Amino acid sequence: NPDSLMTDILLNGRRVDGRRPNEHRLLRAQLGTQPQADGSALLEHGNSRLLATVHGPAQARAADLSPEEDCVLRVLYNKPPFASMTERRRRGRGDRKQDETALLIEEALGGVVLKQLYRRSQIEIRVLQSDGSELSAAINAVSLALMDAGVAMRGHLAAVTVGYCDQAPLVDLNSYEQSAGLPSLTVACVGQRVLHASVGARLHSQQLDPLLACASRACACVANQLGQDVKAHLLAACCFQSAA
Amino acid sequence: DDAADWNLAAPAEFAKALLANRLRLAATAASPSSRVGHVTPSCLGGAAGSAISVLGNTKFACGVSASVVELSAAGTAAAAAGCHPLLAAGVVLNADLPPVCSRAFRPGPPSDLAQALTVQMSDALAQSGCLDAAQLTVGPRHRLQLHVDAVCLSADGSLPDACLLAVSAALANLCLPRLVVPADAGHDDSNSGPSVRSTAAADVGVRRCPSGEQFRPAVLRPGSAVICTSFVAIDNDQLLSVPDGREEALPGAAIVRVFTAGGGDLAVRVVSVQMVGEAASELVGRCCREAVERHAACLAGPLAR
Repeated sequence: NPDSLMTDILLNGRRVDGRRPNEHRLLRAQLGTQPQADGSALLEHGNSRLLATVHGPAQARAADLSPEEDCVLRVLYNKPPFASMTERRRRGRGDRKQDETALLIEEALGGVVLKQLYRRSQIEIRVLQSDGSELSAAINAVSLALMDAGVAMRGHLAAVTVGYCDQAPLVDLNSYEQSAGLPSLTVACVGQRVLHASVGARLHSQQLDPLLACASRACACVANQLGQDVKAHLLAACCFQSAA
Repeated sequence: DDAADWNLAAPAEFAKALLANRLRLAATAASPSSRVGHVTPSCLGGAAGSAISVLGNTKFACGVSASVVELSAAGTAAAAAGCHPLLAAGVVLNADLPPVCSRAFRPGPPSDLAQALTVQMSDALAQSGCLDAAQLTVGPRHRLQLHVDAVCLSADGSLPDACLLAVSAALANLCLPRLVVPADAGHDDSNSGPSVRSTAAADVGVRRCPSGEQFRPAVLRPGSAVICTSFVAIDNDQLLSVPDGREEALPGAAIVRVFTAGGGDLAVRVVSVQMVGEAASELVGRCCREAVERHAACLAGPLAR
């Protein structure tokens, strides 16, 4: 019954976890958590924790090189079996969803990394996720790790998942709301340019425009918030350097 | 990285300098018991039991999830005879070394190192005598099956050390909903299906207790743990405990891994010793003694509850 579903999700203007429709979950980032990688970032997105590492640019394998001698970005996305309690344990590999997520992240990054600076080289990004599942959190973590590695990018790529409930857009769906089948949209953008948009469940065409507008605003906020963590990390690194 | 360049240009001198430096540090630290690492228990909300262990630069995250399986009497005996004793007790252990932890690991099927790690740890746990399989029974015909997954977040030497620390801590803080088995949940044994079927809890009539109560099965006997201590023996003479990645790769080094188990009511004893390379027996004896001391230090330090 759709009406009861809507009241489950949004009761008195508050969501399941007490947020208002336009509130994002807690975002906190730490850069440089793995010194042996070229760049690494640990992102806390509400209850999810994601670890992303960047290796490269390094020499590309001959098989991976495209004819234009462009830079090759490879994303390896891995979600350990204990990551979410609600999903049944997968036997065997069950990697299709993970491969698809990795491909989507690669495509989003393709528009933001300045590939012409890294010809014939390969940047490997590895994402490991625990306790939750969202494509947008993965994209955020990956862009932070790329920043830590010093890979040249056009801007800060931020992503957010928005959904639609009762004529109101909900910012940053958690796993309960996502599994309820709300129409949802995952958007990644750099400044004003939208680099990636994927739809979660069925979305009416009239809902698309307000959702996109809401998502762009939310991405700007996310970029701002994460940018503060990046700045803090850089300042700490600079102080250390000048003191040493 | 200056160290990497030096290593590339003059590996022998680099090795000597590394050794000299490490021994100097070791002399001030005085014992392997000081390198016990750090464990954060119950940190992953989605798992029944979890822990993250940090040992130098090596980090492991371990999560335990549980499912209910149905046993049939004929199948149990056959299964216990054929498979690994840990599996017969109801614990499935898996160690994963994903590409994120180190440049050396590619994506795809588990590497040899990951499989070897899984087998080493399964054997150590099975032979430890610390595992209490009776805690996992639920009613006359059902049993809990625990899936223990240890995922490496960062690999820099001493992998079994960090991995077993995380696994011991995760098993120690298991928290499951209490289950209720209805009295008439009986099946006939002539059913010719596979002996141990894994089914959702709802299908077999085992249900969560309506009060939402939780219980903590003491799968590892209280206060005990299974721990590994790695040593690197250089020239049958010098011993480095809990080595990092560079030290494990030193030329002419033999790696000795000592698995110890015990604690609480059980005495601490050496369960197995695995070696890569040659080392004199006195050296192995010294490794075992130091490993037992380190076991006590781990129980008092990072694994203390």
